[in-house]
Amino acid sequence: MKRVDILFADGDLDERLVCALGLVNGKVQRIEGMQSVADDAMGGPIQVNGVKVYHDVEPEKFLDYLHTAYHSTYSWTEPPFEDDDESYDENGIFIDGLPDNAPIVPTLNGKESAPSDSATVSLPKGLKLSNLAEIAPKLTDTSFNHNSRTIHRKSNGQNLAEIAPIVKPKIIAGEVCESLVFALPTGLKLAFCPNGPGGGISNDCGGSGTGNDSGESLTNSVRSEPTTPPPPDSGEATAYRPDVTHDSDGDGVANAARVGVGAFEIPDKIPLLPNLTPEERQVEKEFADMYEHDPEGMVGSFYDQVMKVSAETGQPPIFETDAAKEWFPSWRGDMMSKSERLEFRATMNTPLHQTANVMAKAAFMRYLDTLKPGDELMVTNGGCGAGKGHALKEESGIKAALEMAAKSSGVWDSAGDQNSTENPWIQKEAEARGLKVNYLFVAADPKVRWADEEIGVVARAEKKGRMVDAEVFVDSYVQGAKNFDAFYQSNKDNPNASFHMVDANGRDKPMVDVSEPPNYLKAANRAELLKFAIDEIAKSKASGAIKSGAAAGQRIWKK
Amino acid sequence: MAKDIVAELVKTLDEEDARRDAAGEYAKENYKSDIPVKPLTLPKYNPDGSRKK
Repeated sequence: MKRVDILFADGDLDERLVCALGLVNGKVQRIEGMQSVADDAMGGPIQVNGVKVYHDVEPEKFLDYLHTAYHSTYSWTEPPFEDDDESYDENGIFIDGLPDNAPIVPTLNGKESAPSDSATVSLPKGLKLSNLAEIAPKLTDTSFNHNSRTIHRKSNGQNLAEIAPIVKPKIIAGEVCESLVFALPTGLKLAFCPNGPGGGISNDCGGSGTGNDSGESLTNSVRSEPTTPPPPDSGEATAYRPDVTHDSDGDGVANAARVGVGAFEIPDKIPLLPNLTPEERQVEKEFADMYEHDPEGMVGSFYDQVMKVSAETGQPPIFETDAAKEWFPSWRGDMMSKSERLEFRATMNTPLHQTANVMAKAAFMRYLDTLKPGDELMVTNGGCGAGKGHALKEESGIKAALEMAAKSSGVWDSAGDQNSTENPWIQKEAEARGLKVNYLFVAADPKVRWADEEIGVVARAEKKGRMVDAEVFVDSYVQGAKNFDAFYQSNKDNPNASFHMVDANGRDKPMVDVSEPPNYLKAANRAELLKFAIDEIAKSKASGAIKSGAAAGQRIWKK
Repeated sequence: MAKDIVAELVKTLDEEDARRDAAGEYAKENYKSDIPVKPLTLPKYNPDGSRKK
């Protein structure tokens, strides 16, 4: 008789399958073929042979759940049960009828796995190892699921079934790498590193993992997705595909970013992106159709909302592209469950950006027409998720930014996605109206702002859904710094423009004033940074939808 | 200090998201487009980001 205690489990509602990593008579074993029954197709609790397991469980709920999880059971697909031998032990832990010496073959997607294959295990969303420390003594009595992790077999062909025995799980908590470590023979250890350099589960928290291979695999997966050209039947040749470095007027600032519209443009017809999937194309086209059918109505509604907030808060009106995406019903989650909304936002940020950028620019121009000569504006610049908003708060300690905000009658909170290309347009429009513009640039380490477990865009996507594409993200830091620097150099003596720059480098250091965009951005190796972003997302604990959204640019702008 | 900075950054990001959510509520209540948004079945993804068959 074999005793099976489940350590980690991952459910799939569609396929009614739960995979798990468990202890089989003291040995780690990947278990495949647990039958589950979804009782809530929206991601709520599912049934694993009568025991509820939560797909989207919060840590607190998970800890409560542990107390009721003793009786999680499963069904083997191979080798078979001895039908009459199922029972529970004296502690209420399920004991199956597997013969003592039955061969246990790890499987992956129903097939016998090669030594180099990965197996998927999971943790509840938001669970941190500090929580696991509390429950470590109970680990052998529990099962839980959600948020995929990957086991990298690092033992040169030795699979998990051969790794034995488990001595005792223990927690090693550290500043850099918190680990759940299982003692294993011959010096091998299986460590759980949710945010460490190895990611997932590997033999070493500092190990190399297989991130590079994962990034390449993710890129290939995204590139293999079906695409459909911009309608109507005009083919990909009509798609909007600007060179993000092209500078036609020689001012050093590129004409356009890869998303949105040309810096000086507010077109009547929305330019459509290349190589979108049929689903992305539908969303992009519907939002564009909405705008093209009723530009005045949509821009007017957006404008009214911005002004309403300004009136309610007493703050100057803030115009930003991302807020305009809320005018697309599915983006704000109309008629969707929370999980559906998160999936939509994970993959549809880029397709909606085109129309949203036009709406925001048109509304901002409408506002400029209400100002009088001598009024001032503020424009924030910086990469995606750089902390532009934080620089405008007292807590940042950046007095110059606060002073800029205080004297400005309106704010253009530029999307990092636009790579600071819009500054010459804003300056021109402002000067035409006798206005002065105050520019704030926030520099930050793009690796931190991509991958940090709390403030990175990937982590934010897990919380709020919106996932920026990696190509766009990298442009926003590298090309964005170059564009801003060029604009600053050509306007630093302009009496109608003022500048302030800060560096928020690192994740937890105070912002500091700087005199120009730092070289670590202007001279950054774009290709290396892009590879980092793709590799990091591939080996992260993010959902498959977030990974797809983060890597979609590998298809959209493929060479 | 370090924790405070991260917490403040997270708080700011949450506030920005809340601001956008509020914009969405306003849009839902105050703007109706004549252009129908067709039902969309989102693709399902495997944990590695690949599209399910």
